[in-house]
Amino acid sequence: MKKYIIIIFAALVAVSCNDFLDIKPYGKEIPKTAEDYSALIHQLCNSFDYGSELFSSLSSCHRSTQLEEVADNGEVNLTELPGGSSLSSYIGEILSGEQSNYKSYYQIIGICNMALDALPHKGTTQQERDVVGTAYAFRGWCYYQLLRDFCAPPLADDATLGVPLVTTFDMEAKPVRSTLQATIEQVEADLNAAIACDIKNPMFRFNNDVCKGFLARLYHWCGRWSEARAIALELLDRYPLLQGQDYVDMMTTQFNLNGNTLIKNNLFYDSSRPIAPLYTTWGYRPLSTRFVNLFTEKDNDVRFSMWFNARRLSKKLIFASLRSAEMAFIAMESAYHLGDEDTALRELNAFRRLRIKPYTDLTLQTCPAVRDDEYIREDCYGHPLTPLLYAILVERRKEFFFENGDRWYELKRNGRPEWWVMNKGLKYWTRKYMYTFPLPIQDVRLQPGLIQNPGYDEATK
Amino acid sequence: MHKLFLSSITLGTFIVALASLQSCEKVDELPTINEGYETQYRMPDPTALTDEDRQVISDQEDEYEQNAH
Repeated sequence: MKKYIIIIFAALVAVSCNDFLDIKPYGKEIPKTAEDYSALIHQLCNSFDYGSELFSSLSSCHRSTQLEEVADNGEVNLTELPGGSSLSSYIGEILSGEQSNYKSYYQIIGICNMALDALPHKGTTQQERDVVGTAYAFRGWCYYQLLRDFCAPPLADDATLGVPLVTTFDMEAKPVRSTLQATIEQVEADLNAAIACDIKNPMFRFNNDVCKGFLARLYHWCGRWSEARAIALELLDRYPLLQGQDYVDMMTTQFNLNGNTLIKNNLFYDSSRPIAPLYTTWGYRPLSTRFVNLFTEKDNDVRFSMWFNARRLSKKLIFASLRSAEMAFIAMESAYHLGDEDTALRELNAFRRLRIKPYTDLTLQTCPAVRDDEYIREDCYGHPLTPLLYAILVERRKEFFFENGDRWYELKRNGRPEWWVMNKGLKYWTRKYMYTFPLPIQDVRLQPGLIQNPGYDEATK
Repeated sequence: MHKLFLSSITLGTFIVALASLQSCEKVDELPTINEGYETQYRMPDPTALTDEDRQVISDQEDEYEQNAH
């Protein structure tokens, strides 16, 4: 009897699945200390600097290029093939790919939440404050990007839905979409929390001025003009606009934080994601007359010969950054929408004077009318463009060509115009709904109550 | 009878153990779902160019060849 019991016992022990109850994640460390979370957040900063890993398609030079391809500064109809075949023709070609970006943003948010859950709010040491502040900044930045990409423009009639808000690390969480207002408030709260931490270590990039810059962007996007203008003017005071050789030096330096640039994605060269091919492929798509003809002062405008050559091929360096000029445009457009046209015009002339020499000031009477070939015909409220506002938007378009996908977001913010392009003999339309990107198919199918953006009813394998 | 019963239990245990040994591998509890899962959103089909469209493109090409050099 005893013999049989021993045999049975031995048989069971010898062949049991010995890793059935194994829960130790081999090869992975679970962060515990402030140093561990510091390393985690620093890794995010490193990826941000190199435009790599999670950031490779989020706000890098590659992203700037991608959004420029689907906007209207380049002339898609004149794309030379086969050299330009890798260039996207219209937004429909990249919409499905936005699902990956959506997931990347939430991965970053997850990392930030992990750090924020573990560390004391605001931190107790400067190191902790730097880590906590940067986690808030990255999270706020992610929600701002999600707001711009996956929600309708806030001032539009159909702007109601925000994105799911996750503010604590929970792998089982399946939140539904918040309201647009709640999403805006989340971005604002996170950036303000980052500012409250007063990040000191430059390695963490998101110092107070950078976070304020992003707040100004948020307020500008949402039409909170007073707040946007106040911050923009504060930053302009600390980071004055450049002109002449200083401006040229700043705009012709790819891998450096110089001039009045507050932060730059792709600050360093990443050999695994070289930028040179981006310039090569753009050599096959001339810029449109809609864009080139905006430079009415021709060579008197310092940007005219810096941005493109005689064949209308782009020469401009591709940036993903935050610099003072953007604050200038936020300030002047805010003044305009607050009803102070004189201030808006004065600031527009002050800006143009830095770029165009010799320069004659524009007046309300001499501001040019909206060009017939201009796609943006209405402002962020849906009102027809006035010559002054058109002049502000034109100057912004000229200044931020190939930066941050700015033209794409301006098209989205100001009316979401529809237009067509020709690709391989067929006509493709950019439709209004395409400015708001689709949520991932699997999330919508598996998460009860998660509402998809309009227009994305059919999917394929 | 008693011995037969214990022998049966022992044999049964060995069979079960043998089966466990065969199946005791790292079970993929969440295999990738590929079948039946869409991954791409369907965009509206492109349309053919009209004569007016072709004229627009032709004008752009002419203008570019004449003025960009």
